[in-house]
Amino acid sequence: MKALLHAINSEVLKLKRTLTFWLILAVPGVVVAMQFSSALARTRPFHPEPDPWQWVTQGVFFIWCLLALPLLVTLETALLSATEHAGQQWKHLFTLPVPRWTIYSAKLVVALGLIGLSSLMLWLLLLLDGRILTWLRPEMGLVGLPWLPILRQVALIFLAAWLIIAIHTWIGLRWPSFAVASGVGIGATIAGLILGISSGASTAVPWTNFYPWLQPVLILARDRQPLPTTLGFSIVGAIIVGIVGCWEVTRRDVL
Amino acid sequence: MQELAIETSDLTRHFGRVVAVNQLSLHVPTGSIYGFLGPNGAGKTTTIRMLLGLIRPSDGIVCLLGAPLTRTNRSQLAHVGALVETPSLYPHLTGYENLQVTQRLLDSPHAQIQRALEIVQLAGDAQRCIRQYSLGMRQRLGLALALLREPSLLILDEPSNGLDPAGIRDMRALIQRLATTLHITVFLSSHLLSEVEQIATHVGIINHGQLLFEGTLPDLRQHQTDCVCVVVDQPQVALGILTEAGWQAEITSDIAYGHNVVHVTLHEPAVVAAINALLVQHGLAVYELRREQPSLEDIFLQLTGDHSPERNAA
Ligand SMILES: Nc1ncnc2c1ncn2[C@@H]1O[C@H](COP(=O)(O)OP(=O)(O)OP(=O)(O)O)[C@@H](O)[C@H]1O
Ligand SMILES: [Mg+2]
Repeated sequence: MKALLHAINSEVLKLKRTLTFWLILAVPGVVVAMQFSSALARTRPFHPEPDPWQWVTQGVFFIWCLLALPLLVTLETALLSATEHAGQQWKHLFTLPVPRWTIYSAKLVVALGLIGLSSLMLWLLLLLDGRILTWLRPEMGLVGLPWLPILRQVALIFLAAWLIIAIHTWIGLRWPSFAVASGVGIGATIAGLILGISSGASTAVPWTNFYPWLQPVLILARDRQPLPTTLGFSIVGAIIVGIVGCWEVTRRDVL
Repeated sequence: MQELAIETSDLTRHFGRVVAVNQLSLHVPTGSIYGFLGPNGAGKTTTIRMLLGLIRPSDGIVCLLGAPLTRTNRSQLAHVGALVETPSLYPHLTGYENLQVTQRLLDSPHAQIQRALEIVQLAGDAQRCIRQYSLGMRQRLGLALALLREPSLLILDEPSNGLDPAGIRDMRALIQRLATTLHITVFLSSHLLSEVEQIATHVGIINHGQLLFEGTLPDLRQHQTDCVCVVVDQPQVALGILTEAGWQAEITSDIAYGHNVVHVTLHEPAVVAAINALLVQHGLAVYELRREQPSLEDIFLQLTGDHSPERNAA
């Protein structure tokens, strides 16, 4: 356990001066900025909404879950592992008297942490977005600052993304090519987009509920799948993929 | 303290149908500087990867510092520093930060970083990004990375690779210093005998995955029989006389004497005078008679020359 903490500590140092850290700020920034500018540019009158905050967050969450989050996970994990593949770090790291699985787990924890931070960023930016709109667009009827329900939603989406974080961490660390890591992520995200949109109709294909890249969006569509199922699938899945990754990395030949 | 820092027995590794390392039994005495020599593709890197547990042997065992190295028992690696091929460095971090990554992972004291930097004489450049490092500096930082653990055994794979002559000399001096002042056993691979000849106490020579020789440098010299070069006026006649007398002789040419040189392989040193007497008796004019010791480079080339059946068959 202590070894894991040391490994995480060492991972954090490697993030210095990398794109990895900026992406977790930039991606939620772009998503919220899109929503903000569309609200600001809107010329049609606002209908009185039963819940104006819902109106603000809905679009952002949708894009976040379906597109931005899976792509962010893909990029972050691909970048995290590229740092190791590029300088052929494995042949150094794996000669250290530290179990290989700690190094693998540290990577996974850091990937989870980065996506978690990015989610927190999204939360903060959403609150800021709503606050500024309250002031600039009083006709929208935004009142108060419902920080808790929004935080809850952000956190649930984050938990539903654990499975894809674990999958992408493994893919990134397993194959040295950045093209493989990002290709799989982009492909799977687009496939998820198509599946998600086409199964939005009542004739939903049941197995799309167990498509890992669609788990976050299922948090928004709780009528499609109950919350505990989504969370359970994602978290248990992540643990299983993580254990398989640790097992694989200890057996691997480092060439 | 155990006598052997590294011991392998029948270490073998296949890559598909290629046998990269074939029943290698190495014995690296504690306190030695062991030159592990072989031409390109001989299996040096593959052996070193097995010594460090990076790849699993197809067969055989590795003992490091007296204990067998297995996937579950790797604790000896705490006392082993390694540099495999090119140093593994993060280009976006400084020299200091690169060492810090490993120091944090090992949870070793902070002071180790400074100490390692001073040993490889990089303390002045520690705050620069690796991107700005020259090849020689990277190589030295790679060595510093290996020294962070205060190792009692260093395993280095071609540490002078890509360095200029001055860099090679500095690296050699550094390795020598590590061995003498810090009492570190050094196992280093190279494809040039001349590179390790000056510092190595022991050598192992490998080709096509097989160990051809292992021992001290004087042992290696002994391994080869000396020869005598005779310069005469009638080489063909001399060849006939010497062959008849039972010596192994051949005519070779020489820049100074053209084809007048007869090369006789000596099996015992005492016969030089006898050769002379025999030739003079037959009325030949002997212009020169010299005993030649083959250089280590010759021995190396002869040992690793392409006479092994494996490569010819492949
Ligand atoms: N990953 C691999 N897959 C297949 N064959 C390999 C692999 N790695 C090494 N080999 C083969 O094993 C043999 C030994 O290679 P190795 O890299 O150990 O040689 P070396 O002595 O280190 O050579 P060099 O001086 O060029 O570094 C070579 O024939 C090589 O082709
Ligand atoms: Mg090599």
